[in-house]
Amino acid sequence: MKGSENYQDLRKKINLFFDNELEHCDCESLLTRVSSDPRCQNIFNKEKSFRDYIKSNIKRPSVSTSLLSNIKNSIKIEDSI
Amino acid sequence: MALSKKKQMQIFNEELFPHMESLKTFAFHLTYNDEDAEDLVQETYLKAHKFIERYIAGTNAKAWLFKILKNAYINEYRKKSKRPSKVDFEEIVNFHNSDDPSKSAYFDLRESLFKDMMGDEVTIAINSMPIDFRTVVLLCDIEGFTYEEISKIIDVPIGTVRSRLFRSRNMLKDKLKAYAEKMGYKDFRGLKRGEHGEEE
Repeated sequence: MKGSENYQDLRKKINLFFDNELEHCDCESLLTRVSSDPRCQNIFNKEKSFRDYIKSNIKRPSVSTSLLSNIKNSIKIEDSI
Repeated sequence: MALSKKKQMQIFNEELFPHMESLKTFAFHLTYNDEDAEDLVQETYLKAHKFIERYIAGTNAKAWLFKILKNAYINEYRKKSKRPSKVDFEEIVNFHNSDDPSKSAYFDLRESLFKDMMGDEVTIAINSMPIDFRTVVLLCDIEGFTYEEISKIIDVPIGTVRSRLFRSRNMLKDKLKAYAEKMGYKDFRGLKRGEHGEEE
């Protein structure tokens, strides 16, 4: 039970770390733990890989060449009314 | 004092237009199609123009634009497209709120086999999530907004952002795992030797 609670806390802390929402001192203690605890390091690396994977594989459709000019034209029309 | 047309265009060129690609990505994952996404981005900029007096130059233009886009989507596009807007949170919470290590375990993305999973699996997985869960992942993991910014963009408390993100990521991991299994990848880690039928 205690192990499960620790695991949850650790995962939450790692999530906060990657979201840049962890306090500076907590970041330092987490990184210290990551470097000394293989289990923690494993969870940390998995989460990092997951984030990197999502970010690098999501589809980012390009903006059509006409979109900017269409918006600018629409703004000009609105301004002229 | 009202902004001059010249100042307005300066704000658009220097602060608002540079976010067009990010807005397009967000819009694409809300609408599921390229043409609707461009319409939504255009609508966003036209609304920004309409309410430009409310924007303070030099502040958080990106968050402001994303909030406009999200509202435009909810108020207009979603009505037109008649997509279901309600999420049965209880059902999702019951299934995904568990942080049981065995449930939240997922394929190790460091494994080389994942490099072969070329395709749109991430996009498919994200797009198959309910809108409220998809939104927080896009805003946080793709666009890098802080919890506070997301809270303001989607009008929910920071605690809700945090818990929704946690559940969304678990959901995403489950979906990617299911996808990998469907593609024939098996995850034998955690099993004792021989349990998966391999030769000893």
